[in-house]
Amino acid sequence: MSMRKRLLSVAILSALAVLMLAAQAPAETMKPKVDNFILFVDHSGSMGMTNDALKGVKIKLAKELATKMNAEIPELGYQSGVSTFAPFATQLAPTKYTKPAVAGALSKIDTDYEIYGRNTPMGMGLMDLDAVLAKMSGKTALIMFTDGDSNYGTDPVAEAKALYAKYPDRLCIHVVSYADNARGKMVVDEIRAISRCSVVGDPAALGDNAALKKYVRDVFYDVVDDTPRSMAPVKKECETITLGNMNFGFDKFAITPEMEPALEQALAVLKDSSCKQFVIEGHTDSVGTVPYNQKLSERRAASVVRWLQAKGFDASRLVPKGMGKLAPKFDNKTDEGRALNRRVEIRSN
Amino acid sequence: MHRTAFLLTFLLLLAPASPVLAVEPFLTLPEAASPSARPELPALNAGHLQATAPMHMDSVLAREHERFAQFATAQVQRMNATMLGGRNSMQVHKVGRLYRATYKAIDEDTLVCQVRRSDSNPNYFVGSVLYKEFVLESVGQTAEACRRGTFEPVSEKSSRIIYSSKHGGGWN
Repeated sequence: MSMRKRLLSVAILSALAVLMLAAQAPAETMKPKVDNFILFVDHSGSMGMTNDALKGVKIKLAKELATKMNAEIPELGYQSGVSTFAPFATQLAPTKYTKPAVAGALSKIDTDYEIYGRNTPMGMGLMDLDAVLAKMSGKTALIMFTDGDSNYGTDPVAEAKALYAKYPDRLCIHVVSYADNARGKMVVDEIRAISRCSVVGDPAALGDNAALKKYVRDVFYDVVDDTPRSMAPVKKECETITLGNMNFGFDKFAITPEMEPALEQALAVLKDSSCKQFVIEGHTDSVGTVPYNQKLSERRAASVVRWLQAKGFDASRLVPKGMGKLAPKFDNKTDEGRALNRRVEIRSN
Repeated sequence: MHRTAFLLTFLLLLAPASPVLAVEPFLTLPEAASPSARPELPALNAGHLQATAPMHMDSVLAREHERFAQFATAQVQRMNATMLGGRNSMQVHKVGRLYRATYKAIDEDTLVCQVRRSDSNPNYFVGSVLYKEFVLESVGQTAEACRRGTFEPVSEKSSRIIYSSKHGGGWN
């Protein structure tokens, strides 16, 4: 066989192999998670300042990231809008999403402006956005690019909560945070904590293209593929609460005054929860016998239940359970693991 | 000099109420370069811990939030390192003709921290760290291939851990 024929045979076989592999590759279908999204950019004086860690002027970095994000968002029929706050302005009124339309709106955001006297009425910005949200039907993702440094006007966390209350199960606020002081970081976290739907966006991490693609996927769409996985993705709705430093004394199970602040917070979370029933589990480390740890953990779980009931929580929704040392979550061979295993967990039943 | 100091203080107190005076750089909290650079907290009485400003303007709470966030990040790293079934103890199983590798992990990049003053005891702060715990899976033709492969989340669980801290005691 001549060299030419040999090379041709190799080329044909290689092409066939590639086609076979391609045919076996899992097909992926993108399914939108939301019907609408709004890119909401903080245009305040503090955003016109440099973030030392990110080595850039915050508004410029936010604009760049929003533009890159837009390039990754698939055109799955969303309605989209672009707005700024501090002061509030609509760059793109809600319309059918196309990359060029959003890119054009983002390009109009001024990044060279006088910062002196330019406050951050973040709460008022959220209030003003309500007029835009009200025109949208279905589910909306609100992606905020902000440093959280609200220094004027109404409480932004309260305003965010008000939006969630007005659009229950229809709104999710995601914050891409440029916060570079303690107050801004706290405000950002408080907004993120309002709903567990919120996807955390860190601009430093999102500089990596794979991370940005993942973020876009987490916010905007689901992927359904044919890869034979052991189970379909499962999301549990009710969160597990762990009381992290419930420091019961050795062989003790009574609730002490030092434990009450954490229990109060747990009570607040339980009262807000839509879950019907909760199991209060006591866990121990591996030191001691099985029967001893079983008994101790039952008494500790029962103490927590009694405390919650005494504070008015419906007793029929609480079930105490001692797990002893039989359900460790961490490695009992280390001091750290044993300390982490000594815990009280509240999980939905 | 005392008069000047008094006038400056008076103007600063007026600043939040007046848009003209509320210049952002003036109100930015001073930040220590690192935790080790922060001065030790003096022992304050309960009155100093009472909120005198709305939460988004509460600098004491903001400072405590930052401390708690640092503690929470380190704590979650410890949890991931010692978790049974974690990345250090990845499970690999053969199912049919394929291999599956799985491990549990808390996503350290997506922690959300909240700090509150205790309602019943003003000497205490309460911190909550909200996180997501995933089971991640990789599928491959060989055990090694799936260990090195791309891991995708196959389950997600929302969790929170609640800690309390006596003022001045730090988080642990």
